[in-house]
Amino acid sequence: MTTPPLARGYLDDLRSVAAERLGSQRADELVADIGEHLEAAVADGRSVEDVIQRLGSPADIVAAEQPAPAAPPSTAPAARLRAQEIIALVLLLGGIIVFVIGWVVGVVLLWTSDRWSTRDKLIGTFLWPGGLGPLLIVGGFATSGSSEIQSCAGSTCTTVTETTGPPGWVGLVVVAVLVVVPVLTTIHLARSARVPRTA
Amino acid sequence: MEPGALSQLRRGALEYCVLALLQDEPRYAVDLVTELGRHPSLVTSEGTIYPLLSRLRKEGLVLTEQRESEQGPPRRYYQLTRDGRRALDRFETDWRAFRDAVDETLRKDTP
Repeated sequence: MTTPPLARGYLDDLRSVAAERLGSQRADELVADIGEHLEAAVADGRSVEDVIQRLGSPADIVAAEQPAPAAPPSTAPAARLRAQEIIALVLLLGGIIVFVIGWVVGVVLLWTSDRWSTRDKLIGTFLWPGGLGPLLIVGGFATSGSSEIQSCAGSTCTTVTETTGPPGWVGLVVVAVLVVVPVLTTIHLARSARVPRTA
Repeated sequence: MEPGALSQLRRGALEYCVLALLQDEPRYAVDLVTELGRHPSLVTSEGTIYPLLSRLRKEGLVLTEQRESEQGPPRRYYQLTRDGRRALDRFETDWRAFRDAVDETLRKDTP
């Protein structure tokens, strides 16, 4: 029997949510169960939409898999960030201004935390080394490379900024990249640190 | 989201409802789930019953068996084990006492 695209999309979602939380073996079993249910119910004359709606969201199904917690899992607040992770994130982003050593301490805290995967740790270290530090260096160049010329005619004055370095938009792009990347890295790490990692 | 108390009660009672549906004969998983899904106050998402079934199997309260089907692939049937039946009997007794106590208390509060 061929699977309708809607059903396939639903099962794919379920597989990825389940694999992330339960591991691939249990995810396969769960997808097989739900897939069989979908197929049988549709063969019974029910519409795919109806069957999927009654099955519920992949997140709810996967949540039901975990041992009963004190509150329903979908409303349970994410684990709080601990002090180590918060300090690590602050130092990674801005620690460079504390005699450079601040950032190094941030890296040590990052690598000794059990909340991040190796991939996260590599992201945290290399995007960018020094956090917002490189911005200060480049920002310094940008200001030294431009000069303001004020010309006045009567009571109206106009200010013209002349850039002596590369065209202005290049600088803007560089600055944007230097700001956006470490900020995104920090957001990403803050999010992943909220979930205690399972071995 | 539903109130926490109701969802807790539901979670606790649902597994025994699964066992109760199996007390006479083994049943096809899809039929079992569809039947439970007919009670919205018991089951909000039919899909959540599958994780429950898998837990009951790990706890040894139900067994599964594959049966050939005329149309399509083999079907998974669930049946009650002796431990499952014992757990169900105990729950039935406890539940009746619990339900009567709650009903009686609620009635007192209503003028």
